Amino acid sequence: MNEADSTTTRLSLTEIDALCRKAARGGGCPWGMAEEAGRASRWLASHGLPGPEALAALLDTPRDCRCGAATQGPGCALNLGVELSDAAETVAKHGTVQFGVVASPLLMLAQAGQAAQALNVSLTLQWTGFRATCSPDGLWIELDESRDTAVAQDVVCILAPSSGPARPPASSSRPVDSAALHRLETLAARTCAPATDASRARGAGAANLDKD
Amino acid sequence: MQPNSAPMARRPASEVMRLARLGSAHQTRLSFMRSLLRRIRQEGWKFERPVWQIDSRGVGRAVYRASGPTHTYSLVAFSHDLPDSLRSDRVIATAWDATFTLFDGIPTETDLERLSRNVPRQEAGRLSESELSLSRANRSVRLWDYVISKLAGGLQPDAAELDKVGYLMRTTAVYGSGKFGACDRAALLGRGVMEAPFHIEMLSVWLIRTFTLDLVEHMAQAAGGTRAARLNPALRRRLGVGNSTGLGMAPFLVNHPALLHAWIDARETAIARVRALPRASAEEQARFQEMLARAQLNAMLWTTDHQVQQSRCTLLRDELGQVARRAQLGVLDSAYPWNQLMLWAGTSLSLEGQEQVAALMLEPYARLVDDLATTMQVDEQDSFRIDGAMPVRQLRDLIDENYAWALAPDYAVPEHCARFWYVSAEKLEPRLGARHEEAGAEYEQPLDVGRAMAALMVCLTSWEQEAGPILAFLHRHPEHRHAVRRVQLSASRCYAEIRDNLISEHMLPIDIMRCKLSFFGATRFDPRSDRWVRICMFQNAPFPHELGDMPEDDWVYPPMAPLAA
Repeated sequence: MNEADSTTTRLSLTEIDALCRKAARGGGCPWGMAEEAGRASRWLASHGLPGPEALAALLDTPRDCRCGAATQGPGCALNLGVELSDAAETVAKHGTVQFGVVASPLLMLAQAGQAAQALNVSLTLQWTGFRATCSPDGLWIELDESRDTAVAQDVVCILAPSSGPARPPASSSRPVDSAALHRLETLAARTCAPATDASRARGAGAANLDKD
Repeated sequence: MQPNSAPMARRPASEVMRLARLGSAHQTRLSFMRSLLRRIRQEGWKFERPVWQIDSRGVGRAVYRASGPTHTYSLVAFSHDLPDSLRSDRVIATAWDATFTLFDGIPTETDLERLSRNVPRQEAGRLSESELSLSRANRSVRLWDYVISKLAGGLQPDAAELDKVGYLMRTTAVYGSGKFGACDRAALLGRGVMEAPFHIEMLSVWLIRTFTLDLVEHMAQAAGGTRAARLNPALRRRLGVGNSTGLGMAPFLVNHPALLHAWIDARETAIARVRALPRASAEEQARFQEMLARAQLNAMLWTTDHQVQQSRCTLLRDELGQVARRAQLGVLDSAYPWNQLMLWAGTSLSLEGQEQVAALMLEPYARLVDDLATTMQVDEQDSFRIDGAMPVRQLRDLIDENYAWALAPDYAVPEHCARFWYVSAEKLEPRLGARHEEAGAEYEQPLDVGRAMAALMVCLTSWEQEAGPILAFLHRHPEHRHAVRRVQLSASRCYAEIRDNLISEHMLPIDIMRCKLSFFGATRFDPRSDRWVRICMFQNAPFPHELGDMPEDDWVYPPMAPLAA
């Protein structure tokens, strides 16, 4: 256990989901995409993978993101992930989809996992140095040398005939790297209005004394 | 031969999910406080107080242990000496009279030390996966000092004085579900009764109630010595735990649409099952009459300074009298008596009265409806993924079918977009802003469901490929992804949405809170403004040591009988 490790803080899946949703929103995603960011980070963490760290890296990477201003650079794993999930039936029919150059590609694994579950198929996501298969039973990681790569050049999703020894999600919390956590919290804070006396006075229970 | 029951439709969402009706909701047999106590009584849970280290000023710690057939839970209580000037129910407070956590299992001395450094700090502390809830409570200063002085002098407090407040302490927050590092709900799968929604929180509050009574008796003993009396058991049961609930609770139901559907669907299915009964036996009628009389007493005891609720209570008392007269005139002897009663209520009573009648007619039918309590939890992962293959036309049809209420208002008119929901940086408190008077609308949370649906519909109407899949639309318009998800989720969950404009000038946040609190099992809602409400939980409920000896699930309406010692 690295619970005592001062470079990480253990967060529950609920906290990871909420923090990552807010951070993505603070980083410029529309709410519906921010929800995907929260859910993807949560899914990865439940499988023992660094979802929050991947999201923190993605949000700081200039990328081709339709939600923001930048239109050049590698593809955004959140955008491509939801495309993969939305079009999963097509992927299941055609067998292979090329995604090319992708920032923080690990995030796409969560969408592949959710799609595999929903369609009851096995989907393999791979890039140079990484290969994992999502099936309704869970996740099988065959190769993870470049799991945490910032940018992969050759991301592909393939309909797999079957999965290897898949593991179901086993964690309900995860130690999150302090630098990533700090970055996510900074972005998340952008979704909150600074407190003012005026807003405080409009909060619940304001101007009521609790004397009884 | 008559069939046992005929199928009866659930009430339509267009009727049930309006805010005014949700804001008139009453607790039922399916409410969480009731289902919790039923289950742990049936399972024969055991209760102990292994730790009581509290000094004469009431400062120290205590542990209450609840042992079920498969798991043991421990309420760890820290009792403080809080100066009056620091006592505040607002979420932005930083000190309380008592702080609590529900521990998963039996805490060691090391655990207690760790918790003593974190639990009293509440949001500023940090929990671990061994903790299931985090909460705090403040004393009712008036009642606290009064009860201690009476008991210390060897006397019993006056029942009328107890009833004026109803509790010794009120909780000002009860957090569960993985907040502040606590155990995630995902880890509670397979826990039986504790899998059900908010049962961890309800168990925490029920044990907190016992702590407040033990503490007041302890301090009376310290003050009065051998002269001091213990509180008469029947007087003891008159005291519950107060609760102050503010805006923070309101976004929950909007942010958990699948869960909201499961709760309302369970309740509406229960009502439909009872309406489908062709007749009511003499025994069932008698039970209804008894509960009706106790509900009338409850309405008499329901006091509030909130003017709108005051007049609703006055009307409710009159309407329950009408129900009693109809029952005496034999309406329950007719065919399909409960359906007749509901139809009459629908045209003759206020929303407050209609919802009270619907809740009351479930009372005689434990065997017919109580199983529905196990259908009120959901796995929200199941409803998250968007079906990108759905044709645009089908999505539009779903909006027409389920969101007509959302498309009606003109959101350019100031009164229809007068508010915005946002989160304050200060303790992440949800707040409600006035759009045309305050800055900060750029921080708006997605609780403007109606307006978002209207915007989605406008955009979809100009989208040409209406036979094509929605994924192409979403690819171009990621800003509508949140709304599209809600539309798809609602397609098979008709009760998922509050069908009213939540940013309207006329929207009352207390309506949303009351809906949620009624599912907890609250009665006698006492709004303190349009954005916070006081309730009293577990009033008249058995205490842990007497749960097995008292009748099952017969406590929520006050007893008619004079006080027995």
